[in-house]
Amino acid sequence: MQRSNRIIAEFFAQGYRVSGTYVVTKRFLADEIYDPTTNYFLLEEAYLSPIIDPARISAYYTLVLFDKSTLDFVLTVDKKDGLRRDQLYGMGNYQVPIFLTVPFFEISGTLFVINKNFNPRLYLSTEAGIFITLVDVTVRSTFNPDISYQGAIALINRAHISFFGEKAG
Amino acid sequence: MARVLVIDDNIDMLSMLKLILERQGHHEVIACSNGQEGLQKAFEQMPAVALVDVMMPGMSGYDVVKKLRADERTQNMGIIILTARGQSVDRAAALAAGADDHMSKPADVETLLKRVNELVERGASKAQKSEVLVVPVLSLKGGVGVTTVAINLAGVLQQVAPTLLLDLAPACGQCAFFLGIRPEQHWGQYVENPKTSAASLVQQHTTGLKVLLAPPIPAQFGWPNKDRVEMLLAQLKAVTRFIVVDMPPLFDETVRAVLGQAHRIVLITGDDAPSLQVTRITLQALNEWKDRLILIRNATAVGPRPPADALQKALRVPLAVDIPYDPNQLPAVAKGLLLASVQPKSALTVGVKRLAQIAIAR
Repeated sequence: MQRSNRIIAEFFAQGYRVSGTYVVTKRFLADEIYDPTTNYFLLEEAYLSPIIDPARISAYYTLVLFDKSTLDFVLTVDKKDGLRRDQLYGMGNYQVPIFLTVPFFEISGTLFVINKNFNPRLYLSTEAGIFITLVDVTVRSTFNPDISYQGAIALINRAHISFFGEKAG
Repeated sequence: MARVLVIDDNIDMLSMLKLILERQGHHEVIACSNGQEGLQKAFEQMPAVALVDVMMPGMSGYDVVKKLRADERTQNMGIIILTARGQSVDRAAALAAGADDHMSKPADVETLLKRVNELVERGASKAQKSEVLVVPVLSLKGGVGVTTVAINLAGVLQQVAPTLLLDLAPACGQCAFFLGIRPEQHWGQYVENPKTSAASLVQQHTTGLKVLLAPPIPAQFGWPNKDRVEMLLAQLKAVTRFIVVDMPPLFDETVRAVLGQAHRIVLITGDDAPSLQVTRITLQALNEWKDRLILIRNATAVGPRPPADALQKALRVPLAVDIPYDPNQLPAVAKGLLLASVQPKSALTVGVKRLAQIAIAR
């Protein structure tokens, strides 16, 4: 089916899963999320589910304003929907399998970096941006590991990461 | 070609799915933008397959699916959940709600059509394997529109599952004329030669409705006895899901044999005094099948009509459907068309659809 300018993505924040529509007008979803000069993010047609029962729709809002600092991560099914404009031209030559945790979730995926020798500490402390981008992501619910989410891209709030490391193997 | 219901609150998505299913899938599409409207259309028009979005304001797709599965009219319908929520938990929730399949948006067009067609075929074969419903349409008084109701009821049921219309008039049955089919084959040939396969005598209307016509010439062929008509019905049951019988104004052992196999019996009454008298007597005669009876009134002429309450009081049986006079019926007959197919919103079609719902649901 034809792609439209309406992207549906999953937003996870403070124990909730919100499926909402972002209307791409001037900027891509990731450019909007990464933008350090804005605090809020506007979503249309947002459907809210508690993460303990993530398929149940507990509320619906036609318009929702998000405080970006409260987001744990954003998940997109289509890769193009989750990349910044500059990332469409290249994301780094080296791939690092990453495991990290944010509140209520364990996330694993691939990080694209420029330097061959990856140092997690150096990466988190020196890389710019309030979010980081992981590719081919699997997310597991901490308290119910049977519940998992797959996504092409996850935009993860750097400030909410507790454990961050290169995945063995 | 099948009837497919699409429920999605996103108008662009709705239009696109409609276009794909109509142009590429060659299906008839009923498009609805919310769950409530979708349920109403599903119960009215009984589509073969429903494509249901999950995230809709008011009623979620899961609730729609649960309600479809809970209703006898739609419980066997093929249902695909088509949603942007494409995680494994969402798939599990869709299947738990009762959907047959779950697809993520944006869906691949070929895969979508393949899944829809699979469910349409599954529905058809399921229908063939399940019990065949026999619905005779009857009045012992002529001129109340038995053939009109029978052919249109068959036309409506055909949109749900394969249906056969059996014209059981002893001779000169009117179904051939009403449907514009030449009565080259008819059940008289089966009566004459029992080795003939009844299914081989079945003809097909342009709508796909199967028809077994009555002999065109009076007294040329015998009237089947009880055993022969039972054998005839047994053979016809193998090729269809519903059998609608246009019954003659008789009450002999042959007619009783058909009524004995009926799951529902549609009794038509007019509202003039002779009609009411005949209906009252017929109701007494049909007493042993009273739990299967559906009494309807069908107006065959323009003019004032007594209120339904008065009719019900006189007959002491509730009127299930009250069909008003429909001026579109005669022009349709002249063209050999089924009004139920060409004018889905005409008064007669709406009444017959209601009758079909009751006939299937009871």
